[in-house]
Amino acid sequence: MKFRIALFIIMITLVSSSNSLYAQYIEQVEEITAGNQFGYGARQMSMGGAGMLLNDGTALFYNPANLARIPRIEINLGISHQKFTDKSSVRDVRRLVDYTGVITQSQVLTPRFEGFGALAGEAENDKSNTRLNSAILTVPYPTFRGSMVFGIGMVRTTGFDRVFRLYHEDTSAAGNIVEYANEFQSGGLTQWGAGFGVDLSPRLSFGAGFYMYTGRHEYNWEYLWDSLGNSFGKEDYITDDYLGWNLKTGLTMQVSPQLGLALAVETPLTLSIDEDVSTTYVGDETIYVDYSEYDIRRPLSLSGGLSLRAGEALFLADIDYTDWSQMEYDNNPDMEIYNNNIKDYYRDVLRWRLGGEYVIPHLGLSLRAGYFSDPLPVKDQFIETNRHGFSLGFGLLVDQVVTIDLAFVRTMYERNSDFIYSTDYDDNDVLLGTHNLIIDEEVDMNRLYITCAYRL
Amino acid sequence: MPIQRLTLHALFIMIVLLTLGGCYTILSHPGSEESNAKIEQSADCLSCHTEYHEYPYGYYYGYYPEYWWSSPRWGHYYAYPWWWDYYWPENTGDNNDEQLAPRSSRGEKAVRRESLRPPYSSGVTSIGREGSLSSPSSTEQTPSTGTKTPTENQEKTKTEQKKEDDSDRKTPRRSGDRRQ
Repeated sequence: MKFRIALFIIMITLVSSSNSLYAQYIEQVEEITAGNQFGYGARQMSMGGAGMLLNDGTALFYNPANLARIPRIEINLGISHQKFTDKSSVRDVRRLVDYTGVITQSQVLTPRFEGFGALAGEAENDKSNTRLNSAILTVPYPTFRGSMVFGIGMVRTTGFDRVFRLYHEDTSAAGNIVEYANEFQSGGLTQWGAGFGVDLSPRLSFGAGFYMYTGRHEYNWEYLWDSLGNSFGKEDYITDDYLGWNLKTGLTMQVSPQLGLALAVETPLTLSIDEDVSTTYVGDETIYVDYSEYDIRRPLSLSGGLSLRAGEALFLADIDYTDWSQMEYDNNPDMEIYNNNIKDYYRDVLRWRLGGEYVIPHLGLSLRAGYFSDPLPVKDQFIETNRHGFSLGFGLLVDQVVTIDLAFVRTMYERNSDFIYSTDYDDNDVLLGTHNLIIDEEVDMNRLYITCAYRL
Repeated sequence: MPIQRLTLHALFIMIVLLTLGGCYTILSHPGSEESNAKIEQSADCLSCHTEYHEYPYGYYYGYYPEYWWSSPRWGHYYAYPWWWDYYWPENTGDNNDEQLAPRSSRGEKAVRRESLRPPYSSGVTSIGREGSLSSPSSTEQTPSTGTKTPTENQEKTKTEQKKEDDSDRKTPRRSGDRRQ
């Protein structure tokens, strides 16, 4: 999204653009749907997000095979609250990228900026949202042996709620160039699912789910630029509507009474995206609108889980592997040319999550904690500190039919990104290169999950 | 994309094969298609279900933490199938006294809070920690009531039972599958 904004600035202010420019700005392929799992189910989230071997309605989405372990009709409802904080800083250097995309120099000044010195700028913004996190109905079919359980419901699988603020100054004897921007994003992907779990043997369960994804991403960008009395301002409002589907199958094996193992395969997810853009400029009453359609295909994902029980204690470990470099644009030739950039920008990711639970039986109370590593799916050069976090929570079993779970999850990461600040063209309007600002972002997300389940 | 299509086809075939071929899970009792299904169920269940003690909540190999026995609400929530209540003969409405085992003197207080006994286990069954199983014969069994929870079931069942176990030990309270 930032790319489109930056690109638009270039188009308006620097005469024209070209496809070669598109091809060089690698972060244009940043997709908010890539690797931004929000998490669902307070019990799972309080244990670092490890849910491959837990037996409640959210098994429909974590591992459908575990549906087979639910013996009673269950209604599962959850909400989540997130506070997203972004602290940004602009480095006091610029990055010169030539027309082939190669970084040729840092801390350079084009003639246009001769006499100006870059200052480091800092800004902070935050945003809070409360959303429905899960709503799942699970119905076990009566069996004489084994188990067959059906589930239907929804979870909030990806969150788009985030903010970013930019402040940057170039100083000179004549005055300063000031750049200021606000970015607001909201929405999310909802995963609707229907599936089943069935026992294949006393120790082995199999499950499968069919999922539909719907969602909307609302993006707002306000940009102001002032240079020695010359000013420029614009506002973009972009909405992306998502629709997609995929499948997930899972196996759960109770190797021994204490040890459980799980495997799951999630098929590639094809998301069809309809995008509407409207742009306004300061001093111009005209609203410029644009529209585009394209598909994005997320790659296959493999997951594994392990559980260990010892008395009142339960330990869980989950991993999953996704090679985001295999993500592709489709159904739009103008977008498909960026698929090479995807391979240069994204990488494969191994997420892992650890969690523990200790039950105090006579109180009906469970105490939980967890830790997780959820690496950003981009190349190392864009990452300062990878995404990770910890979680705490508890659960109450009330009157043998209701569970109330609460989880607090803190997630942190630090990353950097390029922001096109100026471009160089020769006399024939052929792009020579761009001068990019380097922006560091320090992100904190504090999330609260509350889930209530009623078993009839 | 050929690879993705292949993956989808493989998954679809796997789902169909596992669902249709996975005949471990059974939805109707063998031989119970006839109208005498309930009678068969109230007969000697243990003659077929000799291994039932391995699965005190049904045919589930999962781990049953020790505290599920002392605090049965956990077992009720996580392991007690909702439809088991409806399998008990008394809930069928066609049960009668002729099917009940004769009353006999057991000579001791009935077990309290013997949690989470499956519906096809007849009479009082004691399972030692070492896994040995003892149970009354079919002629001595007492049908269980169809109460909501095994705990309540045991509290309300005042049926006297003849003791077959040669040992003099008291029938364990809060017993169940204690394979540990």
